[in-house]
Amino acid sequence: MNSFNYHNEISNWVRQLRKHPGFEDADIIEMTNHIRDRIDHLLIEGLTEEEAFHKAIAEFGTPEEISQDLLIEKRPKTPAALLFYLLPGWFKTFYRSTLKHKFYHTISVSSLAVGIAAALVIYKLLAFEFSYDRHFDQHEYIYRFEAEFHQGGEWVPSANNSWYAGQIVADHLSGIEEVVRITPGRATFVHGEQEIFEKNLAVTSDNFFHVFDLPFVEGNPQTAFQTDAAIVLSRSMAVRYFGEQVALGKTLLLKGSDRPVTVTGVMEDIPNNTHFQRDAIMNIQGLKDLYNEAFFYNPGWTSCFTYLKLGPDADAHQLSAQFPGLIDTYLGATFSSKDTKFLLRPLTDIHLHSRSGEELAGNGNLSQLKFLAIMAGLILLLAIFNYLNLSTAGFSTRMREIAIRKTAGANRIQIFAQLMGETTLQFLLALVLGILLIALAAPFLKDLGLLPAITRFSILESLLVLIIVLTLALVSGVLPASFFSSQSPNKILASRTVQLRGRPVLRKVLVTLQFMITVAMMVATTVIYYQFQFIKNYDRGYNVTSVLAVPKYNMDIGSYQSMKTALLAHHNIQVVGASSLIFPGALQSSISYLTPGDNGEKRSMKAVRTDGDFFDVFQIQLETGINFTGRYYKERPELILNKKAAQLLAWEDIEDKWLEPQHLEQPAKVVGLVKDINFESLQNEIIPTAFLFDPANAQIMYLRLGSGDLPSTIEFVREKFSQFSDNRFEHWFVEDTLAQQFTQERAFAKIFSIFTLISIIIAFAGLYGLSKFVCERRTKEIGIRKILGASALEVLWIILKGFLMLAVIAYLLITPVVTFLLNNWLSNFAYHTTLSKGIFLGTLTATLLLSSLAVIYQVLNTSLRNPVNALRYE
Amino acid sequence: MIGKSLMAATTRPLILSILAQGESYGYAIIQQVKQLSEGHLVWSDGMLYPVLHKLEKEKLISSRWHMSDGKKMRKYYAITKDGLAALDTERKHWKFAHAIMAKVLKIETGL
Repeated sequence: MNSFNYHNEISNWVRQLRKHPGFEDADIIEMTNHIRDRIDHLLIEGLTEEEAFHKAIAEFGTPEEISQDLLIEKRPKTPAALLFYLLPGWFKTFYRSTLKHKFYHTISVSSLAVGIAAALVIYKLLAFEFSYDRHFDQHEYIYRFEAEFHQGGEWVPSANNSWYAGQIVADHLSGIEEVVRITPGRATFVHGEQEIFEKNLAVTSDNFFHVFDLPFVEGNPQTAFQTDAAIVLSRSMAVRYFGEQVALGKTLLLKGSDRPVTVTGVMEDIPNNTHFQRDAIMNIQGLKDLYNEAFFYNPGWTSCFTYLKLGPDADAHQLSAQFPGLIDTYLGATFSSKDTKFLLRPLTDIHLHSRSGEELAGNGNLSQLKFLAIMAGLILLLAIFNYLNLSTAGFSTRMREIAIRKTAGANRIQIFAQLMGETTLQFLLALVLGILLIALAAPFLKDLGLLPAITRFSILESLLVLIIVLTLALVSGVLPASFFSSQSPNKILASRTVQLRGRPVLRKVLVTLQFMITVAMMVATTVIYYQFQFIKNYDRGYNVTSVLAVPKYNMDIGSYQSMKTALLAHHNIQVVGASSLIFPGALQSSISYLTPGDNGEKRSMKAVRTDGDFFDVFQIQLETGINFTGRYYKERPELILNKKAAQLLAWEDIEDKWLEPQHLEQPAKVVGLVKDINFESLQNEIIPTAFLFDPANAQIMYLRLGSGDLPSTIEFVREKFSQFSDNRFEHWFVEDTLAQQFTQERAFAKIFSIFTLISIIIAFAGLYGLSKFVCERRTKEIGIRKILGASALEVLWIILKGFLMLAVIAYLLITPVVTFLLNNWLSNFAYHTTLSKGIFLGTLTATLLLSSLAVIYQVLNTSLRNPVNALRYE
Repeated sequence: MIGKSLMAATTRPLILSILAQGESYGYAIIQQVKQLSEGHLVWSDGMLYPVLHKLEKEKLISSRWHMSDGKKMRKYYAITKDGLAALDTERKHWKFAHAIMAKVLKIETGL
């Protein structure tokens, strides 16, 4: 029997057909039917199956011819159609090449993803910091009315101003539509059985919500402050008192006053990007209850954050120009325009530009933000360099594929488009992975306190991100794609190994740049960390360990003395003193004084009010003179100066020196000189300071405790305190609050080091991938060297040397730049660490070690192989 | 046998005029071409398909898949309005070319 089966033969023919480009499944079905029809026909005419099959196939023509014609027919004419036509093919080739070169793709795409994620997080953080207060509708018209006072030879900024100064400005200048004052307050509220101490209150004028629009959950912002003693709670505070019940109309009792305050509204919690963070806002009647009437006429009572809403035609510069005149005319009794400035700061400038210590919420730090922005750029660059290095590595292993495609009729543009398309796809993939990464890192971001900043991307932002990523893809793709698409297929196919002249140079430049970035970041992180440690451990000249702070407020001197005696009876309480100084913080109060023989010209300096034991509690040694120790009364006023103050006054010693403080009726004798101590942030210089003996106004009591049992000691203090005071007992350890001062610095150091770690990882991964590529390239060379007697170690050194040289070159190039930038940054701090050689040498060592580590595995892997196999390679 | 370029020129009007008589599929079209030309126009059968693709893309013909004889899925082609118009133009061009050629080459009427 004839074994010929034309059905099998047709299947074979179809298989042949499929090998040619241009045939789609539908075409193949159509043509197969054609062949079958023809065969059926020929069978009827009496041919055998074999004859019929061969005749039908012969008549049909060769697949090559038809494929050519089909390709010509199918090639689209317009660019859009071209894209549509090419896309499925791109995906297929992309998918295949990704699988085939998964090592390079995994490294380059995942490092891109990490880079994009890091850059997006930093972008969000920056956007958040720059968005402060912009959510208020009228933000463009709102200014904060601030002051600067000339004290101890420099202008000291003050974010707040006096009630009275605000009044003067509002009364005498035109163009001001609204004046809003915010005074921070604390109070204990009583609701039924509940008694809660609230630290974050604001007492404001009735028009507060007319200027600052905050969304209400209950009540109406327009009418909320039409009644006296009204309070608007934040949503979370309302929940604290009333649970899920309606809070509107309920009353709270202000402890210490019999007056009930009515809840006239509940607002959403104030957005995180607002420069004042408050839990509740009370209207002014509350303030009038809390403070003596006289305060409102005292220009020295600078505790009102005052905001002016200007009319649309008002000009802030013109208004500011009139301030000196107003100061001299209306406030001349207290200030003069020579020592006092008023200024208007745009609302949206407060968060990043205000440098006055006292604020209603933590301010941002512009220089840190600049660091982060640079960092985002550098991380992205690192990732892109990785991509460039590894994608060119990947492409060059595909040279043969490209050459064959070209011989098969693909033109240069098609290859270019194919490669560009792949780059674009990989960047988009990296973007998706990067976003996923951010989502996965959410708990971690929360730890760093970054979560409030990571908000949903708006449509505009998403679009922008997409455009940027696509642009980056385009920029990164265009060079390799145009290079590889321009290669002549003959040359590539003729040489068995693909040698690309010129490429290694680019690759070396990229690797050097990567080393430069990594070295820069490592040095910067180390310096930032050192600076943070330096500030934290800086010897401020006083000892805060085991010092307990208890506010005694304005307790009369007799009670304070008795309480002190009672407290000192406890074995674990060593010294008790008091001061007006609150740690940490800016020195708030100051005194105006005359020096004898000064022709009546007033000057002022910062002042701290203390009792006799303040210096002993903090173990501050006097340079010369005597302390106020142990005394409660003085027959005549006395004061102690720091050395800066003595310098300011140009005093060599304090023998028989007197000052005439304005608030005292008689001159005060200078009894002691204390060394310069920094009570403020270390970004500030120490300023001339006078310590006044004034126990009654030294509002905070400080107790130095021994090593005994703390809870029982604190309980003892509480007990004694309540015997002498009706005030609420509050306490904290100075050490803890000082540490809080560094939370921002600590967070910054942490964030910076994490991003540095990320960039090290990216660079490391890139180097690892590149070393594999180099080894593959040089497999044959390695084989020959080994046959000629080189050991694996010698081979390792040959390849490692190349990388390490680049690292050293990078190090030498970048060090001067980094040194300059970091010195610049450090000069922002009045007290700072220095750039030591150790930091640089350490970084160099770390870089060399890490890069060796990245390279060693691949090289050893190759060089330990049998050289015979290596030579058979390819 | 007819030269390659002339043959290429004839395919379009030929296919259009065949389809103008009614819907048809690839194999049937080829058979008709062979029959009409009495074996003088010899294509390799496969060359028909690229031409069909091209005509379809130019929207001169349209196609649909249809189960014929209850066993084979066949792609049927039909002429479109544009196709009829194109056929008309072709007819004019050929008539014109024929007139000139007849004069120049002194061709007797009748094939």
